[in-house]
Amino acid sequence: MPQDRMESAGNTQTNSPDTYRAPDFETTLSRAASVTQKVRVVHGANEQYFDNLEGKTVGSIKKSLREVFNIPGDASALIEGKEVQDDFVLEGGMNLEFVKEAGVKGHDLSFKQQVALALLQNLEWLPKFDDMEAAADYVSESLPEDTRGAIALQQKVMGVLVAETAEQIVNIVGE
Amino acid sequence: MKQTRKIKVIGSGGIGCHLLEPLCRYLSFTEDFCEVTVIDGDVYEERNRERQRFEDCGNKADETVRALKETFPKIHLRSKPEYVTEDNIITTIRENDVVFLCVDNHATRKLVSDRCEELDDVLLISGGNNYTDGDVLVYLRKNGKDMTPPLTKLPEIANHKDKNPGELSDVERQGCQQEAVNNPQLLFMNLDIASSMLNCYYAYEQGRLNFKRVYSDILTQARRVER
Repeated sequence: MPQDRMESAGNTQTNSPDTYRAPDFETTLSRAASVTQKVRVVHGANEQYFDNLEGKTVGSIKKSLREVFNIPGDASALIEGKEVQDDFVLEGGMNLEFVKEAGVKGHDLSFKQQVALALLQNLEWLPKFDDMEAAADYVSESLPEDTRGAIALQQKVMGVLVAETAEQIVNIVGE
Repeated sequence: MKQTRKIKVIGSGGIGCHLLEPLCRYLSFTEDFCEVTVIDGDVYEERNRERQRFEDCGNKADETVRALKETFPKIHLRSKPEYVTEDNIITTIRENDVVFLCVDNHATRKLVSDRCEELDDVLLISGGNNYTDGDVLVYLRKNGKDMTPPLTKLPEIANHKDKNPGELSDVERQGCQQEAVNNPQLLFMNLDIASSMLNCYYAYEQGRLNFKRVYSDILTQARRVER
């Protein structure tokens, strides 16, 4: 059975021909002007224009919209397509987008970073390399060096590879 | 007038296995001659049962086609139990194909998009998701022109860092399996993306495909379209 059609103007999904009136030119311009001063915030399917975000930081917006917009903690923030840090202060009319790649296995990190993580979490893997040096080479060549996180991860993995005792490994991984 | 529909489904895992049944059911009740080819070099394993639909363990393309053939005898179903690679891409995707790309790596997305760019008439619908959100990319070429941008307009696909599963070493393949454990997916999100991909196909059939990307988020119940 079809769901009842919602009748109130705000909830109808279509404008019926006999009730729809096109806005006049002045109204359209005025609305456009107010929209241009709003901050557009987007994360994936979630999108909204806000008129009270001027002067606030990206980090504070991310925190306050985290649940409403389903923003992952490690999502990057882009202003007009360029990555910004959490302390970036917003101005009216800006486009703030939170992004995270969709549809890649181990999407939180690149594939190669994931291999490194797997190394950290499954030390029984290590013997599958011909030797420790080959494993170290593999990891060091595989990890991107363009982010602090990747470098830290690399150092951790390298630490594990050169560790000689289980205790050392636990100390490095647990850092 | 009867038409021939040639459909390729690349990947029969989390998204593909859920897309195929309703796709074949829909096609079964059209007047057209329908040829559906399922392409996947991976195998179903017991640990996949949490999200994926299959009876027996074995190659994903073979197993899926075997099951679908019983239910949908009218459709000409074929399986290609191999990954899409540089070696077979030309014979896999041809003029007038509709391609449902249900893979989990950008390397294959780039390969398939590049191949479609060489063709005059093709529709590529690619789905991907995180745990509770995801998107569908649509690449439509008509008469040798891009009606929507190729997937490679996205830098993460054009400059992908991952590898095609058909070219992985044993160690890297184990890495992928480990990744799947580290980053579980949600069945409901896979279903949502499969459904969204089919909706795109229907919009195309109706001549209403005027968008290039559809985002969805099952926690906030939001959906956004990019035109």
